[in-house]
Amino acid sequence: MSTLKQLEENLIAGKAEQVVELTNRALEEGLSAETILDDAMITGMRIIGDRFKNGKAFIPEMIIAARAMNAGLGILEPLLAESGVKAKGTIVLGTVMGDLHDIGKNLAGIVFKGSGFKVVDLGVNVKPEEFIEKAKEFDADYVGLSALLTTTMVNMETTIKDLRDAGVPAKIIVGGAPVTAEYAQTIGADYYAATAADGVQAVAQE
Amino acid sequence: MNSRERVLAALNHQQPDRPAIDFGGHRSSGIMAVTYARLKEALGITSGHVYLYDMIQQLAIVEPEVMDALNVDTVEMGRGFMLEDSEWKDWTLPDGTPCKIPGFVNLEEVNGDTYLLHEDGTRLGVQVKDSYFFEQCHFPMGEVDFENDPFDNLADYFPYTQWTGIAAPGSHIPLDNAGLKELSEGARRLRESTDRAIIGLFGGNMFEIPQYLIGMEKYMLYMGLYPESIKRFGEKLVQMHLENLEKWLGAVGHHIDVILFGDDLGTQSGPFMSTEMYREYYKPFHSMLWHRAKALADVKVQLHCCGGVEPLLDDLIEAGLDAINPVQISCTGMDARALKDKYNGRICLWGGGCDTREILPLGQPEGVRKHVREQVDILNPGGGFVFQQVHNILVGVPSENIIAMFDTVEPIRR
Repeated sequence: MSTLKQLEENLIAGKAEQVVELTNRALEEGLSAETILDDAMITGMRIIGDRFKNGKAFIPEMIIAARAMNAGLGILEPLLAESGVKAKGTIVLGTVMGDLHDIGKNLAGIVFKGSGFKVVDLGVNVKPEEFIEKAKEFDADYVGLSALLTTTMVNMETTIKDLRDAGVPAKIIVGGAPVTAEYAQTIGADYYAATAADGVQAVAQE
Repeated sequence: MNSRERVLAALNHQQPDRPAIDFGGHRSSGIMAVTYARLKEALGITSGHVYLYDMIQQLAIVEPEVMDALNVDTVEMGRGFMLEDSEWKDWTLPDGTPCKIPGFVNLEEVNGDTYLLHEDGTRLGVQVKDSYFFEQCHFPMGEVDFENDPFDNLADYFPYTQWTGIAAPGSHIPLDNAGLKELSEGARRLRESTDRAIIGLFGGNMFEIPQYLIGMEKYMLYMGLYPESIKRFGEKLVQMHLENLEKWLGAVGHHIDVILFGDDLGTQSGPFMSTEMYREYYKPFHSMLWHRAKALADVKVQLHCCGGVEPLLDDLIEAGLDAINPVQISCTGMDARALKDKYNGRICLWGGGCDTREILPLGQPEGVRKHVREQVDILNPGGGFVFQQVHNILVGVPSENIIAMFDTVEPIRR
């Protein structure tokens, strides 16, 4: 089995130490950081993401795969920066004001990162002005808004309005348990993500 | 049928004379205090107060006058305690409505945020400005070496999370000799005073407590990395629960009809974990607790378990479960018709009576009526159903929708 295939399988299984070892071995074999990222890590994360979406993998499996991916990325990132490889896009993510829940948002971040995006995670209870500031600072292509509560999802609407009024050109993705496709449309979001894996898919279908 | 007979018929899969109704019988079938104050006004009930008994979720006690008006058939065992106003203190809800909170609750306000404190001053939860909930902000086992810790002193950590450390009336009483006597007395008095079915909130959470102690995401990482440690944690935790269960049911078992356990196993789109992982990590412990409860007292076992948990239902039934709550119908796999067809006669569906994601908060009274009628028509035939809206009624839900919901199940008495 090729090193890349082994790397992909170990990433899917969440084996961080092996991912580090195999990433180093692939580099020693002369493969570029970009090839390792595209042909082992992103493919592996896509497989685990699809399994998650289809109810074949669950949150623990997603989280250990992400941990393994991050261990490998720690080696690749300086090399990718050196060789001028650009991310597939930049997303600024956060849970909206008044809401302190983050696991859904974190899972979305994992999936975006695992698809080759630069992810800027602003955390929880994020005010509209923070979204605006960071979207501008990082020249974001996308802004992802999350909420768990019907009482806080109304803050998505305010945030979207403020982002638009401030002239932020990024496309806006919304998700979270209380959010529906209809609601997303009503408040003027560009994309609705029913699960953590759906945001990336929606964006990829552009 | 009186209320108790109606609830028991439903639990025994016999047709009740009308659907049994739960409202405020436990901490996931209730109503936030802000909304409760509006509902009382709409019902024209001027007696009593707003008693905010669940600080974290900001839930109000549903008072007897309101229960009578809405034909409620259940009552939480906690209503047998803290009956004197001297045991409560004044507070103001986020919208300015005056209310009473338990005297033992310690709060601290800093720059518009409100903290829920342990008595030594540790901040366990925070209600950020403009929010209506307290969220956990202290995880006492967050930094332990999970892989190797023997988990011998779990009890020492319990007072330091908002969910295990901040009591509600009834659960504030310690399980020592004097406390058990007080519990038994209070539960007995409540039973003598009502024909409503009494729900005792035990908890016994196996999946949630480690999340409270460690943090949700960290614990789920450990579920993937350290199977032996997860099982060791479960073994120590279930021993604690079993010891408490013996004492608690010994004191109140004769006076309650339903014992409520809790463990949210689902998300919006399905279970948190695979069926295999559930069977390995949690099912053996659930089975021990639920079977023990039934051996100790003549009670029905209910589990509060949010999310899309259909893939786990057969296993939960096998572990001894009689009733599943809240039947979150907006989640994947939780369609009422499909559940009724597949599980009829095997498990009581306690919930699913009205969607709380869109229809109750955002719909119109007529839409609420139509939806509730449909749900009841699907779920009630042959028993095996207790009506409750899918979860607590939150801030901003119109009183007319709440009234339309209950009035559709059984004409309200006002």
